[in-house]
Amino acid sequence: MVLIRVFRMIGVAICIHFLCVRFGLADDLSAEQPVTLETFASKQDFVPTWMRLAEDKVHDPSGPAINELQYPGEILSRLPKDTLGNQVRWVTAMQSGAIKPRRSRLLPEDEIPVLDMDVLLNLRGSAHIVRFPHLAHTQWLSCNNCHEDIFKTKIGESKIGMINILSGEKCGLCHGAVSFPLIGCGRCHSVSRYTQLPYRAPGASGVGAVQ
Amino acid sequence: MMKRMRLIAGGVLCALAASVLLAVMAAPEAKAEYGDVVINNYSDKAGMRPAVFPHWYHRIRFACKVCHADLGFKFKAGGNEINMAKIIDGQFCGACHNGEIAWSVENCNICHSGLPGTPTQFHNSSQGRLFAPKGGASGLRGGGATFGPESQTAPSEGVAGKKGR
Repeated sequence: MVLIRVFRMIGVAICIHFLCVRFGLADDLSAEQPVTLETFASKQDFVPTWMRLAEDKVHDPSGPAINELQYPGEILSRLPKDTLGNQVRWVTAMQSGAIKPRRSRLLPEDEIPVLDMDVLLNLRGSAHIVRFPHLAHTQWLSCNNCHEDIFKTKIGESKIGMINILSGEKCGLCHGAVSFPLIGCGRCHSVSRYTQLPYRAPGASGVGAVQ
Repeated sequence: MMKRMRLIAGGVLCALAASVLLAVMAAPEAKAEYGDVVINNYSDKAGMRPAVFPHWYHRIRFACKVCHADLGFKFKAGGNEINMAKIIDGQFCGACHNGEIAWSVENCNICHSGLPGTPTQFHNSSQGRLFAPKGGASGLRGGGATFGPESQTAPSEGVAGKKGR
């Protein structure tokens, strides 16, 4: 029984590896250096293309407004490029000022809190450690989008796993639907176990809390 | 020894088959933009084209929180039970699509631009690709059924619904 379980695990691992290879992520996972947002998806030979709305099999090509709707590539092609999802690096686009999404519907920029604190997750697993950046998330979202219903504030209280995430819970509520998709393994699992962690001890201000 | 070898071979073959299957399923199917939501709770029955919500267009202009915290949109395709009465009343889409912040509701066809009969779905989502059920009896397909906050153990109200203004 144990042997079968081991083989099944090997099978799953190979399966994931093949998926990674298919989407060009294997290098990122096996890299010695942690994958950063700067190094990830900077494949220079990649040319993104976007589907015309009339051909996407979701819009009605005979609809009266089909020519009024904007072609995604018209604007997305001007933003920092990516290999996944919309083929736009949304966080980079916002942080570099390429787009300036309003953070409130009516008010000018009100006092919407931003939190700069990384959380390291999956410290005992075998994949790369997950670095969750609060900063990028709080620039888009407000605290109550996640806390306390989806994620508990207390470290270790939220049961997060890939099964959860793949079935659309926890991180998977957005990642895999709107934010970068789940085939971008190395974007969350970004900190190698074999390099010294560049984080201060838990408890210090602005620190990566450790689970 | 032979048995073990056979098991290894079996495992590898299974893995190959599974990965090929997944790869085929995950292959781009020449479809709409990542994150597009088709909302067809009532449209087909009312003789309208389903509404298509382009996430990419909106997130260039607004942060997620504006809709998902302030306006109370749940993280679930088709889960908000939006209808035209609510929109004209200024809820959901109507909070902006009122002729002041964005164009108003008389431009029916700009939203209702989907192919008739397209079920409610979160387009191109990872969940949709991995777990797309056959048919679509629930009206929700794929990642649309991203079991929203209400399916969590915590309060029955959605996270945004509870704390939104």
